This record gives sequence, structure tokens and C-alpha cells, in this order.
Amino acid sequence: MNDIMIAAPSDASEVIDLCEAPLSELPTGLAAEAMVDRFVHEERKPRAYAVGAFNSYI
Amino acid sequence: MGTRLPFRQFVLKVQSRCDLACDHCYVYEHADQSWRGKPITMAVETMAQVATRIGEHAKSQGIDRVHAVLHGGEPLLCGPERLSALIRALESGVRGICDLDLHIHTNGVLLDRRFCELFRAHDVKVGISLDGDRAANDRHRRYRDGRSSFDKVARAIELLRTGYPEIYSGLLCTIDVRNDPIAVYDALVSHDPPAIDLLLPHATWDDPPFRAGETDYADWLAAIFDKWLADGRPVPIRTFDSIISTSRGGPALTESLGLEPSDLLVVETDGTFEQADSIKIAFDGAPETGKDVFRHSIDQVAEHEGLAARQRGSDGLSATCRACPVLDSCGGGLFAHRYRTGSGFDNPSVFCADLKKLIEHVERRVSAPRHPVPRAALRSIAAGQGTVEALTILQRGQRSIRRALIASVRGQAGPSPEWDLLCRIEPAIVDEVFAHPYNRVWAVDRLRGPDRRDDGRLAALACAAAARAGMSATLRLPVTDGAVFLPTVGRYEVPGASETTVEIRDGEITVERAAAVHRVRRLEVGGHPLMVEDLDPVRDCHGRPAAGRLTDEQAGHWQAVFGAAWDIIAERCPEYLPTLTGALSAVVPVVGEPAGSSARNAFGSVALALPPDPETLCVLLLRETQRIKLGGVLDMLDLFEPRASTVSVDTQRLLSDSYARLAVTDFRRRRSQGRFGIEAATDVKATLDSILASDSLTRLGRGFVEEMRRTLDAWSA
Repeated sequence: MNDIMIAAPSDASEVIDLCEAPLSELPTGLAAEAMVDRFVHEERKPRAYAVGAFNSYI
Repeated sequence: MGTRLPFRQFVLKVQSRCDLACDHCYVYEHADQSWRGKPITMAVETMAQVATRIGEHAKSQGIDRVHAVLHGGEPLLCGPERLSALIRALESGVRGICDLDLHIHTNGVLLDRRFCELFRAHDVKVGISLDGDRAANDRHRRYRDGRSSFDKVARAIELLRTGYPEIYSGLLCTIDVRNDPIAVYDALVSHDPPAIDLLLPHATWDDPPFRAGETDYADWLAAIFDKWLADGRPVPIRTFDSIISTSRGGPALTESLGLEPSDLLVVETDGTFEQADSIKIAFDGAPETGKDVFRHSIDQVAEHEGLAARQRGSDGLSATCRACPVLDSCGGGLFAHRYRTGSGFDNPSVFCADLKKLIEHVERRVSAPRHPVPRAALRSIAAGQGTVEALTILQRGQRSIRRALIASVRGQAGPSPEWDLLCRIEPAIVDEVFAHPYNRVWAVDRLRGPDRRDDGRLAALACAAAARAGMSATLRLPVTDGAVFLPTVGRYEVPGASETTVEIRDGEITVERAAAVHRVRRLEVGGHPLMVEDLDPVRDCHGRPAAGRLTDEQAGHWQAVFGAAWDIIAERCPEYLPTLTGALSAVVPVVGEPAGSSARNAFGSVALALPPDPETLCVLLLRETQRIKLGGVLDMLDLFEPRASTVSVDTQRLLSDSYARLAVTDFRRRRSQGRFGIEAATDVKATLDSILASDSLTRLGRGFVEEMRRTLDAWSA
């Protein structure tokens, strides 16, 4: 497993999925940071966008 | 019918004219021509009144954060002085009432340092429209005389990227399928944007989009999606992120997809309230509400039928949409794109075939969740006990978290013989040892303070796992406070030593110079082994001092009281037993008055000062296992919106208390043949109602709390 598919996940379901890998292949980099943020520092990144965001701005 | 949901997004039209003449613009080039009669620029007094209305609404609805977008036309045509006055008027109106997440969306051609300094000073995030590379952008984004805007836009983006990255929020690209999708994607990514969105061009069934084939737009977007995936998702792309989110049960992240109720209101330069302005493409006057900031509150605007229609989820969609397998992700597409003369908006999107194909493509390409939580499982937990399947899901989630955190500790420590040993042992056996509830407590503690001296727990875990696997191995372990603790095995006293050697031969453990061994005890309750954890040095995390090692006599007393409590639960509410065995694997004796507690990082363990009677123990066990289950759910699913404030933390505590009371009320209700239930249920329901009204729950969270409430309703019916 590597950092493909895991650009800064913020939702719990995506973060916890990162934890499911053989011991020797558990994630590093962005993925590990997301995991440690969530479960160690109990920090949740705000979503990149508002829920149901107005589509004519970013 | 009026709407019940508050508005949190406000699009503020500060300028009704534009310096470009893009032929795909929904403001000027489609059916609605109301811009011709509007003031060119919003007056500061109008903005002050807008802010007053937003503040009133935030206060009355308990909203702690609103999003506002300064929009146009081209908002930079206001000039920096007018924009500064407008921003200050907006800020002062909501100050002390709610947080303001302020954005501006611009074509970028006028963006310079003066504007950027202003926006940085007020934390206004800047999004820019760019349709891709020069060729793509020049197809539509031109001045009235046909000149290209590309160089000026590219310069503006570069200014943001290099000089003001903290306010650079991203790029918005309108799709034209005649452009090369990969060239567009590469061009957008080359500007290093924090986020991108790819917008379908505005069209209706009356005025359909350009297309050469049936699903041009899906094919175009799928080409970008595949490249984006292959590149490792280097930048968030809102459309794709939304489909991924909804396909995993999460919220939609754009109004153009999904079933999220619309919480969006537009204010024109003259102060009139309008619906989402994309419906300007439908017919002249389509977005009008007949209300304005001077005469009407936002709560009054919320009664407008057009706005209410966009808050009904799937009930507000056409029959075709309601029967569609991708309904949750698609949600009928952008409201405006459904319009057809005669049937109005009661149609699928004019991009229906594209949306279905794209969503199915994304769902196929994105790997299925490794930790899926089926709705039925979540409902069963919310309803009270949870099924065996649901508890297994929570256990699997905890297993993954524990092993990942332990691996992170190892990652900090670097290569080691104990890690090599763990990797050689059968994974299921390693998992049995890792399942010790205090391994996560330990790992979190280590990761919060990575410079601490190695306490040898990783090696201790390797020894315990090797012994369980019947292997042979030798490891050196540090001795802490005169002992070595092997999780799930016991504590070996090694007085006077700073290190010792642990030797495992065919599963038998020998600790060099060990003077005494205290083995981990297990209670037998209903055939379920329950570890009495009175040895682990990191167990002391429950807010009450951990008791020392129980004497044999004390351990016998614990067994007797637990056995009697288990019998009571088995007789009175046997359906709770699978929950108890699924969520409880250890008890930690603590000192003080009889009470129980649990800790989020110690899934499966309850700290107890043992009560003298089994009836009280039943209550404590049921209460704490509820908290453990809820913690497990919160680890896997977002029931609460991410917030900077502490509101969610307080609300989470309320939910935890209510969920614990759900089981306790049920237990007592059964003992009293229902007499106790009604009053207690009413009390819990009132708390749940306050949580539902708190603006802190996600859609999943609302569903969870509403399911809890249904259980209580059934008791008091």
C-alpha cells in the first residue's frame, strides 16, 4: 500500500481504511499523517468544501 | 410548505457587470436577463443590511459558522476600496454571532497586489475561473472584442500561488468536451491549486448542451478521473471527491450532485433574495423570491416554495431519479439542469446519461471500502444493542486502528528485531495480542511524546505473540519499575535490573532473573473470558486511580459479583449479552466509590470500582459498554461535522451520555415492567432533540440520533 488514493483524506471512513494493510505495508507519508492526526491528536481536518457547496465558486 | 433547515451559504452579488463576455456565462447569456435592471454595484448600506439578516438568522438557528461568497458579475470591478467597505460591513454584522468563512470568486483579470493584500487582511479566500490551457480558455473566456483573457488570468493565478498561497482556494473550470481533457487537467494542475472543480456547462432540456455522442461529458470527465487516480489524487477535485464521498455513505460536497438539502441563498446587488442563480438559465425571472433584505428576514425567505423544494432530498426528485441506482451520488444533478418547459424541474438532469455513467465509472475504479458499515448494522447499534455483525464490524475497525498506531510507533523507532519477529508471526495471532485494549492507549501516548525512552512494549508484544504462536525467540527488554509486563500474559518481577532477556522456547516464556510472576487473571462470565487487567502500567487512564494487583480473595469476589450480574442480564435482557461480550474484553479495578468509566482509546475495557451488588454492576457494565460502542462508531464514521469550536465536543458528550442512558433505561424499564421507562425516556428524548437542533450532526449523525429516538418513542407509546 502506498499513498495512491489517499490525498489528504478527512472522512473517518477513508482514514480508517488506511489502517487495513499487512503490518509491513502500513501507510507512510500523507496517509500515516492523516491517521495520526485523527487517532492520536484527535484533529479533524475541515472538509475541503462545504457540504452541498455552491458550485460556482471554489 | 416551509423549509426547516437553516441557510449556511450566502452568495453575495456585489457587482452585476463583467469585464469579460464569456459566451457560456449563465448570468448574461441565458434566459434570465434581470441583471439589466440591477444596480451595478452593491451599496455598502445594502451589505450592512445583508449582514444584519445573516446575523439574525445565525442567531435564531444556532448556526456557528456561515460561508459567504463575494460574487458577480465580476466582483473585482467594485475596486479595492468599495470591496473593502463591503467586507467590513459584512464582518461587523456577524461579529460575535458566528464565524464567517469568506470567499471571492473572480475571473482574475483585475487581480493585483492591492486586492490580494485586502483579501489576506480579511482572510478572504480567492477562487479563479480557468477553463484549462490557453486553447481551452480562449474558446469561451474572451473580452467583448474577442481578445484572450488567458495571460492576465495566468498572471493572477501565479500571483496568488507565489505571493498569497494562504488565500488561494482553487480553480473552477467549465467543461467543453471539444477541449482535450488531459490537456485541461494538466494545465489546471500545473497551477498548483489547493482544489479544482470541473463544472458541466449550463444547459436545460429546452436548451441542451453541445454533444457529439450520448455521453460525451461522462467520457471526458472519466478520462480526467483516471489520470487523477493514476497521479495519486494530487489535488482535491470536488466533483470526484463528492462521488467518492457519497458512494461511501458520506455527504455530497457540491450542490450539483447528491441529496443534501440546499442551504444556499443568493442576494443580488439591490438586496433582493434569490434562489441559486444557476436557475437563471431556465426562464426569465426564475430565481426570484419576491423578498429582499430590507423588508424580510431570512427565516421568512425560507418559506419560499422554490427553496423548500430543494430541501426535500429524494422526495423532491422525478420518478425516474427516485428509481435510479445512483440516486444517492447523483441526486438529479444540478437543479437548473432539470428544467423543461411544461414539466418545470420535475425531470432528470439533461446530463442524466453522463452523470450515471460517470458515477458508475468512479465507483468501479475506487476500491470498495475496507471497513464498510452497512446501514442496517449502524441502525442496530443506534437502536440500542447492536447486532453481533455490527459488533464484529466495530471490533475489526479497532483492530485496524490499533495495528496501524503500533506500526506508527515502530516507524518512529526504526528497524528492530522485535518488529521483524512480529512480521514473522501469523497475523491472526499477532492480532490476538494487539487486541489488548491498552495497546492503543500506549501507542497514542508514545506518538504524542515520541522522544520518551523506549519502554519495551513493542518487544513485550512480540514475546507474547511468539509464545502464543508456539515459536522460539530471544529478545532483550528494558526493565521498568522493577518488572517486565507482557500484555495478555503477566508481569515478571526482575528486581535490581535495568534490562533482561526474555527467551521463548516452543511457546514457553523464561525471563532472566525473574523473582516472581503475576499472571493475568480472567473472569469466566457466561462462557466469556474477561481479562482482569490489574498489571498493565498504562491502564491508569480512566480519571480514577488504578487499584493495585487484586489478591486471590478479591479476585474471587469479583468473579462472584460478575457471575451474578451476568445471570441477571441473561434473564432480564438476554439480547444485551452479545453486546457485552463483543464490546467488553477487560476490566480494570480502580479505587474509590463504586463507579465505572471507559476511555475512547481503550476499546473493550471498563474501569470499575466494584459495587457490592450485582444489580448495580449490571447498570455500570451496560452504561460503559454503550460508551465503548459509540466510541467505536465515532472512530469509523463521522456523526459530527468537523468544527473548530468546542460545541461538537460538548454535544458528543451529550450523545455519549444519552446513548449510555438508552441501555440503562431499558434495563430498569424491564425491571419495573415499564413504569420506569416513560419518564426516563422523555428525559433522554429531550436531550436528543437538543442535539438534533444543535447544527453539529452530519447526515449520518442525524440518522443515528433519530434511530435512538425511535427506540425511546416505542417505549413510551
